[in-house]
Amino acid sequence: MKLEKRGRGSLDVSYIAYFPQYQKAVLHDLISEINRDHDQNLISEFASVFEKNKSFNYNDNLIKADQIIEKGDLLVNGGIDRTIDAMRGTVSPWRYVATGIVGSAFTPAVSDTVLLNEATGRIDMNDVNRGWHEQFGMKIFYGGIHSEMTGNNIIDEVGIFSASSGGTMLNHTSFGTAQIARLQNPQATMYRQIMIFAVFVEFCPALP
Amino acid sequence: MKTQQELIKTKPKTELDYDITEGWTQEQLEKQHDLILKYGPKETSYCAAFEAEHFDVLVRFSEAIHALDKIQSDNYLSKYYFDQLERKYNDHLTCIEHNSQKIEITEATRTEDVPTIQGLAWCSKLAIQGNASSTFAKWQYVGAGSDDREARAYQSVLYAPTLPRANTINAAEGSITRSGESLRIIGIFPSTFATITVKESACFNASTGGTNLNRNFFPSNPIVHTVNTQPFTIGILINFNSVTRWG
Repeated sequence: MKLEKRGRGSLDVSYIAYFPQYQKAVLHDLISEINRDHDQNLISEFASVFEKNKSFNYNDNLIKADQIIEKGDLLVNGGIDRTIDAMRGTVSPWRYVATGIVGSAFTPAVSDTVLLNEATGRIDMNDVNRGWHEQFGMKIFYGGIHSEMTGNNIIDEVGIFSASSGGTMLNHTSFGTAQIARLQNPQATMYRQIMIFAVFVEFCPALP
Repeated sequence: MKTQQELIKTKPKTELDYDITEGWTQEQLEKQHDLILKYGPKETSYCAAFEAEHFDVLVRFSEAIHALDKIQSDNYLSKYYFDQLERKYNDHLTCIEHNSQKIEITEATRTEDVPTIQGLAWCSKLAIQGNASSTFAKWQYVGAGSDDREARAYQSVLYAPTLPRANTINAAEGSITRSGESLRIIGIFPSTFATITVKESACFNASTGGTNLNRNFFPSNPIVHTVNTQPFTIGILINFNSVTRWG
């Protein structure tokens, strides 16, 4: 996010990225390696796919999104509180990516505690093939995948949660009318794209 | 005076030392310092001296903070401590009251500085770890020193520390709690602590060395502590909310 657009204090920047279905296996390998090794260089390269819309070569395969939508929104108060408690080691870490379908733009508030219209099951970031939560410089990098078989066609709100249902919400992002429909196969039971939801929590902007 | 790069080279490394700025130029370090000042979490520190005969009550007050932390994470007692120090700093007649007993604050000084770059990176690691088994050491120790260098976000040491650091696991030595969107750290130093003019302080993840969450410099009216006279405390408040006093 450009500095002049950045708000003050801690914030989150969220992304929905659409990747061609054929990259799924490579993305699973990449995410598994990140979860296993926590390699800062690899995490940095993967992060730049979202933050800078870059592509990169991973094991001789090009990782490149068809489209990426960025939205800088806010950490809710309960989310900041719980993050501080996680730093103190008194609560469990954030674990689930929740998605929702609202159908129109809205302005999230710092007092929000739930998504407006949550849809589809939450993605468990502890699933080493589908999710991750990594430290990256002064940022925390959360994310999860909806494969071509799961999730909805259009997702326009995202939040990170502490539990598989209910729980505390870290952030609330509205993608509004920026979201697009995934490309669909003729069979209509699966899509031609997979969706990745990435959330960066940063306490302070870092030098590029 | 040594540059940050020279200090990094000379500082002994342990697994608790974490520095993402290794290899940065001095210009890059200064730019990142400015970014934290303008956009990062806001940090305020207090150093306060107390009447020696009130030390026992001060420790019991700290025990009450620990006890409250076990049953609710939003700790109004630590907020009260910082509120009273702020009042004292603003020359109001005030004290800390606990169980109908008074803890008189004889002097208080305040400074507004910055969390460090490596401290915020370590915070990110801790936030991901949560209450899982500890791979990364939590913030636990409060150190005091007497060097008068201005605080910068890239400083990784206290330049003239006096040991030992206060271990906040022990209620008699302080606490680390949360109130609202703020991390509140209190280090208690008994009257037997060695003579020192407290000009710098920081919170660490180790009893010696380690990574520092912040570094403060008390530029005016520093607390002058003489051994076997008065106890003193260092209070560090880091606000992660989206509010700024800078820029």
